[in-house]
Amino acid sequence: LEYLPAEILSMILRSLTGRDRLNLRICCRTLESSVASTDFYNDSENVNHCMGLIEYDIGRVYFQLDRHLRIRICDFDVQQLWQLQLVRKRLFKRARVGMLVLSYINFDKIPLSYINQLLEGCNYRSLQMDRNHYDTDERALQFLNANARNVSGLTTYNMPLTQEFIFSLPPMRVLKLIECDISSENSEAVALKKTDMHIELLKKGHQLIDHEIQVEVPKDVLKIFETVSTTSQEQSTRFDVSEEVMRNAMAQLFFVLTKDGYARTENTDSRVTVNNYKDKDGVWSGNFIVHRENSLIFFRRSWAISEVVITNRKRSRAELMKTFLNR
Amino acid sequence: FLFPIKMTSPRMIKLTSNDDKTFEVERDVIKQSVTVNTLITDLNMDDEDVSVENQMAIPLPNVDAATLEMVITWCKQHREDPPRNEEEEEKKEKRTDDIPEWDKTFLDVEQSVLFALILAANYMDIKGLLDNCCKTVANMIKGKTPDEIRKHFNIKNDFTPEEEEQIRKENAWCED
Repeated sequence: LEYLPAEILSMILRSLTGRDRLNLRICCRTLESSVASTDFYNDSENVNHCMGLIEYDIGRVYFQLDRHLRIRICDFDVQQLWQLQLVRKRLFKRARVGMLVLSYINFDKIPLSYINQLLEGCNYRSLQMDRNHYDTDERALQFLNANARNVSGLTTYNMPLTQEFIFSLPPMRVLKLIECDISSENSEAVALKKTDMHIELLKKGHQLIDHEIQVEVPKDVLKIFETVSTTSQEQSTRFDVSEEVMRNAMAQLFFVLTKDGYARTENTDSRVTVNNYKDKDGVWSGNFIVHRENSLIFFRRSWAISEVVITNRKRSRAELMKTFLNR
Repeated sequence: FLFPIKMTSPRMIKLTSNDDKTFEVERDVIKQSVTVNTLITDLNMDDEDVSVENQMAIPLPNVDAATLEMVITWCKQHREDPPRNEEEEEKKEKRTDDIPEWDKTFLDVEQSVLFALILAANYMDIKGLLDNCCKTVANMIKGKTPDEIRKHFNIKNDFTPEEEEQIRKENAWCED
């Protein structure tokens, strides 16, 4: 049983109840990792099943379930934390989701021990942090240093990191270093190129590192979203597109784009967030982030994308594909 | 008036297993395998007016003769099945108590045979067979304790007692 390919195990798991999956987890290491890594968050049945549970609001706290159970928390108080704890139990019991991502936490207001209590029992802990949430580089780095070794997933935004720090991290299930200014403590050392660094990090045992592939965006892909209505929401525009539209776009080049800016998909479900961004040269180009481990982009492409960010960099698609394949 | 009736025998396709055994199977039967069907279409084999003796056999390097024979038997049994609508199947509630009686008996085989069938169905892309095989395995898991699952599938417990305890704690947490 444990030697069946992951895709088949995943099919079998889909027919099992949460209890049965949990029992299977205890059988052996292989099955434990299969159950943990089988992306049943992708399973539309599970996602749909969970969808009804996610609309939960406590002031500025809101829950959002996509492929993982993701809970975003902003500026909440201790009482709300306990409400959250209750909801978490309810969500996990019903939703059978084994992953909890907490982001946008104001750690100045909430003691870390409380967060740890909330995360108790989670088999996957991911930390996301943004330099812009801290007053100084030092404060941000202090926080990162204190917590990065207690998690198995790390996403940083705009952090001034050194190569030495990155390589000192324990192997992560997910490692995303976004918009990072990476330097080297050793001035003699030449900073590794991004692709080389990815390879070195994979060698160190990180399971999933975001890769970037930049491509030109053809106009016909743009057209797909020109017809979609949008609603303004503060600095960004959010709209829901039909699954068909999403699939069409994904099928063409695995990303989405809008008329007025770049599209960023949080998942392969039909939600698309559009940031108002204009390329000054008027040249559309894309920057894909795909899972290294699930480098299924050439096989099961609809599930291969975790995130799509379009930037104003430009390289030919053929060249990029060549680079990607040679990695 | 009596018109002469031209009797046409069903079109046959040759398949070769990885142990070099060749099977002749009706075109209409093997169309359930998306892999084979695509090959036949891509190679324009439907258009060829070649006798089965001179026809090129389609090699199935991932399937042995015994398994291929079972796959063909299954396909023959299900030749009249309406085509599956995968989208509808996806939407359907995942049940395991809807395996047809014939399939239940057919799939009541040794585990090694069942797993070989699963791999073959996956390789040959026969959704119905794969689905029923997976449901059969799921039924073997359902309701069993971890020890019972290990015993049933002959799985070696390679956790340390501490690791096992940790997972049990996590499981309890997921359920409380």
